[in-house]
Amino acid sequence: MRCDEAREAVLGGEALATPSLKEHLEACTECSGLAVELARSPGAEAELDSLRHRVEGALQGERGLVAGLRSLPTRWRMLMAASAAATMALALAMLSPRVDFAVYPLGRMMASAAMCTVLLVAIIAQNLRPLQAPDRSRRALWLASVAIIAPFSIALLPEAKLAHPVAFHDAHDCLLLGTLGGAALMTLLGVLDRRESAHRSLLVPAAAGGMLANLALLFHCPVTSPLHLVVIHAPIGIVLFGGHKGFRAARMRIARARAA
Amino acid sequence: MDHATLAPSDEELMVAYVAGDHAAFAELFRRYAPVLLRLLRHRLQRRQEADDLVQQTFLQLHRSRHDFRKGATLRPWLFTIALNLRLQHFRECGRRRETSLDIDAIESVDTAMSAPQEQFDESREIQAALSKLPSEQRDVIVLHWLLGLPFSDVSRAVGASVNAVKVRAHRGYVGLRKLLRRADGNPKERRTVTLNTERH
Repeated sequence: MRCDEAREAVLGGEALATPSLKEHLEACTECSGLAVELARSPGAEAELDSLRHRVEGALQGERGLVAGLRSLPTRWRMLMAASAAATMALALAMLSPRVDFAVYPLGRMMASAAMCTVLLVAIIAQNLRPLQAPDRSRRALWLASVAIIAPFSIALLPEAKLAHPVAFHDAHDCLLLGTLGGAALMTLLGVLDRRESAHRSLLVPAAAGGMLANLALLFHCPVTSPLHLVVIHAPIGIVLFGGHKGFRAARMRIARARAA
Repeated sequence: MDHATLAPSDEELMVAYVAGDHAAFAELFRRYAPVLLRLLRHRLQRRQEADDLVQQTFLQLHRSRHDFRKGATLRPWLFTIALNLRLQHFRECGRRRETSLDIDAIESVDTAMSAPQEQFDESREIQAALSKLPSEQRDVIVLHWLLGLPFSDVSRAVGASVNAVKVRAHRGYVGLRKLLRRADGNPKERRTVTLNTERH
């Protein structure tokens, strides 16, 4: 018997008394070391049985729409989240487009939209990264931080000078629309996330929500004043982060109270 | 060996499970639960934590089943999930410092085979020495040497290049040898512990 066969047999739980395996283990220090390791570690049948029942119980709970959605292949989950984000941004642009579309500098709008889109897609991909892929949580946090800061840098650019005067609509709905759209994306990301809720990042989905809000408002809000952009548009990611944190804390408090 | 050659591979079992065969999942659990428990208990203080993480690992395997493609290897997949869950667990606990091995708990488990006492002692010394290595090196050594993964699979599991993994393994083995010699106190008299760093 070769070492790889013996290793497979030992790891596969084959009886160690099998003549060929026994013979190999007596001759090979490495494989016998592995067998000793396995034999003295958690081999107890009762313990494994109890664990198996727990796993089966957990799998029984994996039913319904949410369980079905998070079990979809990763590329589908990512596509679903990206499509939902694109639909929300386009819906706002189609249903309530900014009134200065014709006069707003096209290059500036395209550059801002491209930056928001790239960041949004990257954050969605990081947030829905499957656990069988190596951990990249630092990269995700870095991206989320950039996505939180980026809208401020766009807002602080020199104000766009419009060639023609535009009759502005009331722009007070920006915070509400942006927050609602961002929260909807965050909810979807939460549904599609396979991790347990306690292990999920607070910042990354909030950054995705904030990015979507800024992208959508770019096509909706005609106000070019840096003050409006800095105070209303840019902080939506931070608002979502705070809201998410508060929501999770409240949920944990309720769960603790119920348990008590 | 008939049993080994006739038994379906892990990948065949996974494909069967994706197709709806629940017995295949039970077989995967039987094969991997003990190995995962061992892997996870290396750095966890309480046995219950390792049990929870193994449960989550299989739950994640279930949730990720449609990501599994023919031709992929299951073992590094499963170990990566387990290591990522352990990392998340440490983050959640805010426990940066690693804990020592639960030697007493390990000793209390009945030995299923009659191993020579000196081999048993040697194994325990290796475990104790392993616990003193930096986590990056220890993970590579546990996956490569103890669990027998080739470097290509280890690199996928820990998310580093094959070269980086080989460097970590080399440093880890050197460190391990030093620690074992130090523990023994007399390097000349100590029996050589076989640490094969040439395996691919």
